[in-house]
Formats: sequence, C-alpha cells, structure tokens
Amino acid sequence: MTAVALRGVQVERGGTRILRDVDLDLPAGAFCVFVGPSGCGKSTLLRLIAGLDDDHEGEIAIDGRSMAGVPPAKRQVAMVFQGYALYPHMTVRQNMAFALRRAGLAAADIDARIAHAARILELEDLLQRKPAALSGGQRQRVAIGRAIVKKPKVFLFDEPLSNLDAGLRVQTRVEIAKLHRDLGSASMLYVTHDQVEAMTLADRIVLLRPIINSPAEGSIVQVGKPMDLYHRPANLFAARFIGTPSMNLIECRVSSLGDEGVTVELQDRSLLARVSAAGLGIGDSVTLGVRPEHVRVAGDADASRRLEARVTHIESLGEHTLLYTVLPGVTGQPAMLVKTTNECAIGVSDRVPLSVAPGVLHVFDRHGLAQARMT
Amino acid sequence: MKKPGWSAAAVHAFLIAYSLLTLVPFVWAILTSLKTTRELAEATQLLPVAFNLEAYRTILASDFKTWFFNSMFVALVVTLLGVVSNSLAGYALARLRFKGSGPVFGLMLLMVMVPTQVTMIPAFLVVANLGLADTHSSLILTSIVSIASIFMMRQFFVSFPAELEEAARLDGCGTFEVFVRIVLPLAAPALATQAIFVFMSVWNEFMKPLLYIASLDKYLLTQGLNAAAKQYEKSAAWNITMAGSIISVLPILALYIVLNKYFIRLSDRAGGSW
Amino acid sequence: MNASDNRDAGAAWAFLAPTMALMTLFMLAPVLVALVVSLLKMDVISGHVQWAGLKNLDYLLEDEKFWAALRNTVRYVLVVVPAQTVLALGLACLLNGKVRFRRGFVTLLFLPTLTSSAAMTMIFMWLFNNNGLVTQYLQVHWGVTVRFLSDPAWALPVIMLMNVFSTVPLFMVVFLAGLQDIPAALYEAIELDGAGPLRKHWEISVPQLMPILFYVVTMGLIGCFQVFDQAFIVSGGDGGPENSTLTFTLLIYHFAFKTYNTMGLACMLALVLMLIIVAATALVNRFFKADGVNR
Repeated sequence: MTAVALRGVQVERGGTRILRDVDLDLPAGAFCVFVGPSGCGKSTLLRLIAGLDDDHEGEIAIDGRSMAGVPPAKRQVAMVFQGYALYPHMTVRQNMAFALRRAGLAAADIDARIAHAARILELEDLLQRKPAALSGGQRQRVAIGRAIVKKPKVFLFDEPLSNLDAGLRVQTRVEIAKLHRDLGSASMLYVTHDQVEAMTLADRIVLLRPIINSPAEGSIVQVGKPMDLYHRPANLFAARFIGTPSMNLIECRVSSLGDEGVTVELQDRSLLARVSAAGLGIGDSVTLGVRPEHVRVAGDADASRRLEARVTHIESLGEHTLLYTVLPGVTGQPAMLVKTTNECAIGVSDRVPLSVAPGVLHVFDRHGLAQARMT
Repeated sequence: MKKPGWSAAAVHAFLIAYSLLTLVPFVWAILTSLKTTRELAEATQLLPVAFNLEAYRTILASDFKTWFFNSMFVALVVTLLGVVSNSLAGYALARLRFKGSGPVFGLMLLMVMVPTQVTMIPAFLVVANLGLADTHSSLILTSIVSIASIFMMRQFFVSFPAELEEAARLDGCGTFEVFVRIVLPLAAPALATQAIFVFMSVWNEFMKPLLYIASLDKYLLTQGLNAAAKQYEKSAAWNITMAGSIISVLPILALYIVLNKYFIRLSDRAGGSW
Repeated sequence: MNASDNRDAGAAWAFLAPTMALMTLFMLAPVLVALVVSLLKMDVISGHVQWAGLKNLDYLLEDEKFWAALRNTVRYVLVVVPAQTVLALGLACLLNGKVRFRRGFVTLLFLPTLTSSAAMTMIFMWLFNNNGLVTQYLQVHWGVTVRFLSDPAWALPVIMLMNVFSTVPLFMVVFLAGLQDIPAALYEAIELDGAGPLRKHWEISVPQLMPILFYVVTMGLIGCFQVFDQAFIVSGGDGGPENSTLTFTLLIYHFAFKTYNTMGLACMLALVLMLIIVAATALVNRFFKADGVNR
C-alpha cells in the first residue's frame, strides 16, 4: 500500500526550475528521508505534499486519493516544522488541542489523545506551560506531540534537528527512530540535508540534487535503502554525497574488459574492479571510486590490488586516523584519503603501500554513471 | 587621552538647557491658567498669587466640555474602526496571494504621495455631495484609512513567522481564522502603536474639522479651542485659553506616560522601515 | 500557475473592502474632482458651474496673493526644513553619547510633538503677543519693542519657530533610532585616529544616516509646504498682517470658502501646490542619491 505517490511533479519558481520529473511511490508505514544539498527542492517537495504550496505540475496522491484541490487541513497529514511553529500565546495543551478543536472532536477524545501523546513524549509535566518557558528539546517534543494527536496518515518532518545543538541532535535522532517503531503503522516523511540522519533513520532514502545548473536532469538521483546507496551509488553525485569522509574519486583509463570485471590503469599498474563492462571500451576515460574506509594500508602480492602512496597529512581522531596521501605518478588528482584504525607508526612523507580489493572499487563512466556491481 | 569629564558635562548642560527651554511654554501656560483675569491684566508677577482654578471652572462650564467629548468620540471611533480596517488591509497585502496585490499597493503608494492638506478641499466637495457636511460621520469616514498605518502593518506581517500561519492552516484554519486566532493576538505591539498613531492624529487634527464641521455644538476640541480663544482674546482672558490648551493636551499626555514605548516605536517605524 | 497566483483572491478582496471603498471615495475621487473643478468656475452654494479652463491658472499667476503665498511658503520651507533637520540631528547625536537619564530626556523633549498645533499655537501666541512673556522680557531687559504678531516682518518667523519647536522632537527620535543602529566600533576606530566629536559625527553619523536624513528632509518638506493650522490661527484666518502669514494652503482655503465663485481657483492652486511639492521632492531625491553614491 502506498502512502504517498508522486507522478511527474515539476516545480518552477520565478522562471527557475526547482524540481523536475519527480516520480515516487513511498510505501505505507515506512520512514522515508528526502536528503540532498541545499537547493535540491526537498523542502519544496514536502510542502507540496502537505498542501502548503500547490503551484506544481503533476499529481500527488496520499493513501490513494488525489490531492488536487485538497486544502492542507483535509489531507490527513501532520507536520513538524523546522522552527517548531508552536503558538506562543497558547499553552502546550492548547497547542496540542488546537487542530482537534478545529475539527470538532469531543472533549473527552481530545483529552485522551493528548494524554497518550504526553505519555509517549514525557510532556505530562509541561502541559500548562507556554512555549517560551520550554527548552529547545522540549519544544521539539511538543511539536511532535501536536502532530501525533492528529493521528495523520503521514507525518512530515522538515529538518527538525537543525535547530538543536549537537548532543541533543544525536539523542533526538534516536528518539525519533523509536517513535516510528512505537507508532506502528505511521508513515513518516523526513527532510534533511544531513546524510548521517538519512542513513541512520531511513527505511528508504530519496536522494535529490539541485537542478538549477542542469537543464535536462531529473531531481531524483537515487531511491533505495541506506545500505544500497552506500554500497551501490548510482552515480558520482550519490557517491560523493553518502559517506563521510566522501569517496575517493580518481580519473583513469580502462585497460581491459572481461568477465571478471573492468581493469583500469593507475600508477602504471592494473587494478581490477568487479563491475560490469557494459558500455565501456578499452581506453575509455572512467572515474575510479573507493571509499577511504575500504583502502587497506598493507602490501599485497597481487599486483591488481596494489598502489603506492606518499603521506602528506595525518589527522588522528582517536578511534580512527585519516591519512591524506598522494599517488606519485598520478598527477592532477585530489588527495587519496585513507581511513584506518591501525595505530600505525606512519609519519608525514612516509611512503605507504595501499591495497584495494576488486569488490570495493567503483567505476563510473564518462557521464558519471556507475557500472553495475557484480554479485 | 579623551577628556570625558569636560565634554560630558557640556553635553548634559546643553541637554538640560534645551529641556528647560522646551518646558518654558508649557510651564508658562500652566502658570497663566492658574491666575485670575485681574492678575493677568495687572501683569506684574510671574507666579500666580494662589492656585486659582477659576479659569478651568469657566472653560469646563462652557461648550468646551462638549467639544472635548466630541473629539474623544470621533478619535475613539476612528481608532477602533481604523485599526481593524488598516490591519486587514495590511495583512492582505503582506500575505494573501491575489492578482490585485501589486496594483493596490502601487495605488496606495501613489495616494500617500498626494499631500493631505491639498486633497482636503476637494474631499470636502465629495463629502458635501454625499450629504455629510457638518456631521461627525464625515470626519470619521475620511479618517479611517491611514495608508501609513497600512504600510506599517504590512511591514509587520511580512516579518511575521510564516511557519505559525502554515501550522494553523494545517490545523484546519481558514484564512480569516488564521488572521484572527493566530496573527492578531501576536500583533499586539504593532496594533498598540497603530492605535496611538491614529488616535493622536485625529485628536490633534485642525484643518479637517474646520472644513467639515460648521455647527458650534459639533465642534471638535481643536477648532473649538480656536473659536474660544478668539472670544477670550477680546477680553484678554488668556488664563482661560491656556486652561483650555492644557486640558486638550492631557489625554495624549496620559496615553504617553502609560504607553511611552509605543510612541517611541512609532517614530522608529516612521523612520523608514517601509 | 495562474490559479494559485490568485488563490486567496476571495479573502483578499474581503479584507480590503472597507479600505478600498473609503479610499476610492475619499482619496481617489477628490483628486479627480480637483482635476475637474480646477478647470471650472464654481459656486459652491448654488452649485452653478461654468467652464474656465486654464484661465484659472492665468488668474492665479496675476493675483498678488498667489505670489505672496508663494514667497511666504518658500521662505518658510527654506528656513524650517534645514533648521529642524539640523537641530534634530544635533540633539540626537548628543543623546546618543553616554548620557545619563537618556530616557528621561527623550520623554521630556517629546512634549511639543504630542501637543496639537492648535494648543501649541495658543501658547505661543500668548508668549509672543503684545503682553506676552517674550515681548515683555525683551522690553524690560533689552529695551527693544517688537510687536511680534502684528508686525509683518515677525509674524511668520514666530510661526517658523513654533513649527521647529514642535517637530524637532519627532525627527530627533527618528535620528536617535538610526544612530543606535550604528556599530560602536566605527566610532571607536575614528577616535583612535584622533577625531574629535564634530568630526566623528560628520564622518560617521551623517553618512550612515543618509537614508533617514533623506526621509526626514522629504517629510519635512512635504509637511512645511502644507503649513496651515498655525497660519490660520495666528492671523485669525486672513493671512495677515499684510499677507505675511498667507501660506499656500491658507490661500486655497480662502479661495474655497472665503471668496465667491472661486472654488475652481482653489482646486487649481491645490494642483499647483502638489506639483511644487513633487518637484521639490524630486530635487531632494536627486541631491541625495547623487550624494549617497559618492559617500
């Protein structure tokens, strides 16, 4: 069952196209995260689903019902705003009761719902306070509580953690995930620019990119489970966006193609990547990708896995160390980052051997599209 | 090294001097109002012989009382209706999406550039043709719309957090409900500032009542004071005229003392926030 | 999309209804009326109208009262606007420093602005008439006798003084608000460079306040060109002594209500005044924008 379906949604604002070709089916009960850098239109998309904006082409349906001409209040959605949007002149209880009173619910029903939400969110002692007397984290919980009592078909979250400080952010992240489990069949749509939030909270990620400078590309880069995006990014954009530090990307040439995969030439060595050779020819320029955490600091007998690097900078973070290296003989490339947990006695200017397994190498063709992984 | 002691003293001295200078006319007016007519004629002393309220009694027993209430009535009605109407207009221009938004705003900009004294005479012709000459209604109807207030409220609503209005829409409020239940309660400071601005301009207005009101018993305070002064000038009863002047300032003064910060705020806003 | 550009139209026009109705009737219509009537010879009492066309303009230009009003009003503007601007700015700069009881001073100084022009004029008339405090003071201590309100050379200056006195506090508060927005660091920097107080304000305060200065001068200009209340009250409505207090608006009033068949002249004069104000404002605008770019 689909909670939210979008077909051919296009959005233009002031002559500039913000969203293009958005087609999505978001399953009911899932936690979906719209993630992407600023300008990709994720908040706009959320607001379209909420009905706060209706200036778009294409169709939006919630729970199978078309939302054309349906005002926000009738869409059975609830939204948690970035700034919480709590009514300053009302108490917490009044804030939570507001929508229910508008809808004409019986007083007993309203009280029951508020009591239930207050219990889940630990707001029972705060019900008589006004928002000004609450801390940031408390206000956020009230905002969530206000959404819960409406018993919506879809919860919408617009960057709810961005106004919290770092420690509170991690804690609240966990609480939101827990909330999703507790509320059972609630569908949640969550917008953020932070890929960590996306990776940790999502059942499904919708990765969006800004299309302002690309006249033909669609807004959606990739849709899938977090681990799918991590292991199989569809293109360079996805590869760069997911994962911290981001994937190392090196340009090189295809030296041979075969059933085992694609071999590229780097540093006068041949490296094998276990990806499909479809569409590639020998001598083609491709981009090789490998995540810093997948590069091993070790020698390898197998030449098809081995690289030589020189360390230019080291950052020790305690639980891991980041080595900034350059590959001698390979010019015009950004630093090759290596993330290692070895407490190795490596110093700057040292030469270190690096090994990369075929299974962790990504290959992107000259359009930036990823070659399909084998197995 | 700075010379803080010397220049600070000079600054304070100047400010005190100017403040005293500002007070002189008012103090002199009060002192005059406490003298008897005979004292005035003799004109020997600065200070009154005794605090004599004869002038106040005289003027309050005259039509002055009626004029005072007329001004109060007109000012209050205009303030009430004006604040409502201007705020509605300001909100419509700030938040509501409709094709006429640009043209209406442009029209108001144009109207604000037309000097009011200049259009008052032609406006009189319109008022007279509507059969409203010599009525308080004419004053009220012509004073309700204050484009400066509309712009001020528009500015306020533009900076109002849109998230609150969106949350209210999601919670089931229609446009009017959003305005009344969410925006207005939180607009109290702007409303207070507007109310004071409107009240004060109506209370102090001279030319408009002079044009529109002819009957003595319908006079507003400003024109009444002028008429009374002309009469008392003949008998050199300046103490009565001064008493009248002082009384006319009292309501605004009271408002000012209580709501001081809103007066200052309205001057800030007047300073070019639109 | 078109529909959503207009989606609040119903509510919007409902919200705007009272304003639009009143504005059309009492602001728009009068302007149109003025345009029409200015070309007529109109008797307000009988309603009789006759076409006059631009003859009204000719008549105005030949009327010595028109030129008297022009002279008086222009003189008035040229004295009052600079005076009130400079004084307001000066006071604001003083108050912006380390002043004890700043709130108290501002509260006190605001008194003249609160007072109606009518009451203020009464008080000033009492101060400056033949038995007035100021007149007597001058006689007793300086041996000079000036009959302020009956002397054509002095009547208008008294009104000028009164107006400066009343409006300075308003503009002072406006300037003060602007000054408080200027970061203290700018002043500190220039002090380190050895600037004294006057130089400090000339180099920092004035340039930073340009937009507000522009506003104050423009508002002052528009207000001064329209001076009516004080001239009316001081002269008893006739613009005397010897037309020395006859201002534009007072003359418009005369043509409208005091003389026969001259409503058309009144409207024509109103339009002329409007044009003068627009021209003056445009001039100020040009001056400020050019200056603003340089600074």
